[in-house]
Amino acid sequence: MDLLPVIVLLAAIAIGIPVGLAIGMAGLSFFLVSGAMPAEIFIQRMVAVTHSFPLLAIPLFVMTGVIMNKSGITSRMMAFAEALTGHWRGGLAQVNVLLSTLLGGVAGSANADAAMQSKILVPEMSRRGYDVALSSAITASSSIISVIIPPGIGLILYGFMGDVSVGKLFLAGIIPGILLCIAMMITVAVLARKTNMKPAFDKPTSWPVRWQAFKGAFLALLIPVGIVAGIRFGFFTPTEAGAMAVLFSIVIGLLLRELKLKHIRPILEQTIQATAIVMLVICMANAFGFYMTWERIPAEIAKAMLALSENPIVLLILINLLLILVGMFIEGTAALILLTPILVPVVTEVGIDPVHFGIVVVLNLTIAGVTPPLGTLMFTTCAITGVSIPAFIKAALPFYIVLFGMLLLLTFVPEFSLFLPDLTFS
Amino acid sequence: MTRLNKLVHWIELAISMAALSALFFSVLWGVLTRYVTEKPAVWTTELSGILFTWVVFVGAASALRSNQHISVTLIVDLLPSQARQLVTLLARALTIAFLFLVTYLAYQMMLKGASRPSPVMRIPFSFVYLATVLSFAEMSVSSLLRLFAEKGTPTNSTSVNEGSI
Repeated sequence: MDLLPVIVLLAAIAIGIPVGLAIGMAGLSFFLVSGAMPAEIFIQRMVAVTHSFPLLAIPLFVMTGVIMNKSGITSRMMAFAEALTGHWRGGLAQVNVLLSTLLGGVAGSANADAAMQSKILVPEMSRRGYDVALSSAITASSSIISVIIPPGIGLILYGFMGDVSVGKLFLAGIIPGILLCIAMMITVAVLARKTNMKPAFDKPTSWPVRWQAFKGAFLALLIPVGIVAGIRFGFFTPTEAGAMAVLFSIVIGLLLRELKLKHIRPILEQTIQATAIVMLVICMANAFGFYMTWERIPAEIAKAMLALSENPIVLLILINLLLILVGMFIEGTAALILLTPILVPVVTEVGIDPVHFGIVVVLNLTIAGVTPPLGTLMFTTCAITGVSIPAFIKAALPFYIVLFGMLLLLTFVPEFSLFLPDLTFS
Repeated sequence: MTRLNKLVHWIELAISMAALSALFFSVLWGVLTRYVTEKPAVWTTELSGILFTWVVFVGAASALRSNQHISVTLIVDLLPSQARQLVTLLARALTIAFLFLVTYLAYQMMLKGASRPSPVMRIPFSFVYLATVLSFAEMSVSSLLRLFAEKGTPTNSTSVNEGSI
């Protein structure tokens, strides 16, 4: 087995070459050295990804999220979340968690969610006397919920790479997402009591005001329901659901009279940038994947892992540890693309449901985004809020415990993930 | 920004924004025709794929120029200043070599693609590969220019982006 590409990959990432290009270099080194195939095949493999219809869901769901921020949907969702939890101790912190969950149902990117809340919610929290490190920690950790709640880019990628139904994965994410939200709200409540956080409002919001806030957010709340139901009943594929979500968020923005012609350019610009960054990594990883298939690496690793143990529980523990380790050195999206084709055959061999496994893998690699050393969500949040990384880590410790606890729970109780897909698909 | 830089940026934006808008309408048209008309459009999947190539690669070139791609500077940041400069220079040189090589390969691929039209719309594949040729050519040149402009000043900390999962 030729290990040169793997060495090139690790060395290139270590010396600070952008991850996407580093993966590309590693892939190209295989074509150049082995001579197994003409080097132009590298280009073909790289471009082929952009012709896969399932992955077109990525720009569309990214665009939905961007439109929501511009069209006043996000602020209405926030008002709704605040009307529900504002009078609790640490009300704004609860809003932060709840908002991630509500928005998670429409947009699919944790990084976008963390960036948006760092810009909008954290300054407001600081104004009301919250510790800025804690606000940042809550923002980054709760953005993980938006990855698990459908639609999520991570789930789309896992489904594409592992040949698993994206529709089922979307359904599987609903209950784990809600559980994550509940677990984090409890954590915030406990922290609020301990540190004596202030509520946002002195008394509970009256029901008529809540009803008003609900009406403001109602149309937007229909989008996730429409996405999941539309895919489930076979009206459209996840990609088409993405186009419908874009269309509906535009319509809602127009109905709310907040979406203007001047927003078109920033919406397209932000969508293109976010899409291109993720997709370059994916395209290069596909070219690198040629090397892995050629050398039969997935099969070899699968054999080695199964030789280690055929017990599903032991394997799940081993895989989770492996993912935590990989997540420390390779950015989440890249790790997801490289590892999914290797791991899915292993787990299906021992009878683990690949849909359940998808939730585990995506959650695990997203958690790596808020922990050191390579926490992209942590970097995004801290860069915007100006909190130092050590202060962030200290404030995030309780959330680390909750996240890893939830990871264990979702790993070993597959029913949480499989209840809805089994209910509706069988 | 120099004037040339501005011009390139403007062209990139125009191309990628047009491609993304067309992509959205193409996918949407695919769903709508399936329910509204008797004959669903078959070309939408193919067209949206081709447009996606343009969005991704033109966008990637744009993102590289503004230093938005994710990189891990953790290890580099630990090095003493002189070693860091050296390693950064090495990284940039390797990146430039890689980009030029890929540009050349993409060009080869584009020439081959001329005789191969897409199944439904009969668009030659060279039009698809043209996106990669332009993208990598631009990335090569802009990286090279930056190497001279900055003389290897190290960029610090992992860049912020809103793109990953």
